[in-house]
Amino acid sequence: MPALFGKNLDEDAAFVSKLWSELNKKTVANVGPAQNPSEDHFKPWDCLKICSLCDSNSFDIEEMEYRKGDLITDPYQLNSIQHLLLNEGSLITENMPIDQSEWPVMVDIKHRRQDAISSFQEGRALLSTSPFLDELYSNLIEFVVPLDRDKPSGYDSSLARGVIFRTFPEGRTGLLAGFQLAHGLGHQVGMSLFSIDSIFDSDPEKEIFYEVRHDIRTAEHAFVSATALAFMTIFSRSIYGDRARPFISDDHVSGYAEHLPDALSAAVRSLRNGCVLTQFGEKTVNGMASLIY
Amino acid sequence: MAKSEKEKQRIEKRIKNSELKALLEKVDPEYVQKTVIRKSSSHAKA
Repeated sequence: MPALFGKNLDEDAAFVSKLWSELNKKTVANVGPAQNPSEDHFKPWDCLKICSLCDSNSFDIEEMEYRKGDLITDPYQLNSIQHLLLNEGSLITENMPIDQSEWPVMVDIKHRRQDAISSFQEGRALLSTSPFLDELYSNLIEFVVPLDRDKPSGYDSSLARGVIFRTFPEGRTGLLAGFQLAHGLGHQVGMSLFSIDSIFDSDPEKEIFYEVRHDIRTAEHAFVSATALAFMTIFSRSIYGDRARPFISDDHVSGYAEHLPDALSAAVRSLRNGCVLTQFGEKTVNGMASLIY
Repeated sequence: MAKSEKEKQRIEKRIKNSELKALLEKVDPEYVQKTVIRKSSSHAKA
């Protein structure tokens, strides 16, 4: 039976949900009431506030009202997030090979791109075909921020835990949006595992060959990428079943059913060949391998 | 995050593995200092 950490995906979902519950509770406690007046209510920007690299005195972030798991469409809120990313929260995208000006927040999505909002909603609904992904999305994800870019893309940061930054390109289906959300959720879960284990006995910053992209990246980057692939594979199985094609046609994702198992195999090989894993790291990578069949 | 205490207890009961339970005792929110800031690619295939 496939499983990432425990005996089955049901135990895995409970484990990650509990992990995040503890993580968010401790983050709020570390921030303190002066920095988080809502006391027991975790906000993604709290991660920035406990980061010693940030000047917590410079923060002036208003309380954001949102429905958990929703796509943010309010222009005022989106402008505030854009401002945050360019100023106090610039660390969120630091070290990413992107320029904020090229991947801006889509502040006018409500007026310009109702189709993107529909794609998000369809993608979220498709995610619920997997009980594992549905439970984790519901418990972990605070909100999704739309980005203004033509290509399917996005980023995720441990300094904005629970936020998925993604594009919803014009003319694409909810199926692509579902894969985008599964990918972001996988990144977020992969990053959060470093809060309980070092994952590597070897240097996590060691650069290794990542066979999926044929590039060189750090071991920890490869691990987070592999987790995202594992989550996409789980989503693919829940939608496609044993079929090679989905019911919904979308050129960008048409080959995923065939491609994902090979990509995940390559990611697992890269980690096994390039790093020395801890016991938990090994268990997790073996769990990823168990998804390939 | 679980919305109620009852829901939290229900989640905890589903975790049988003692190794996983032990790991949950080690949760350190300061891990965010260790970079792990990642981007997704322009193609969601990896």
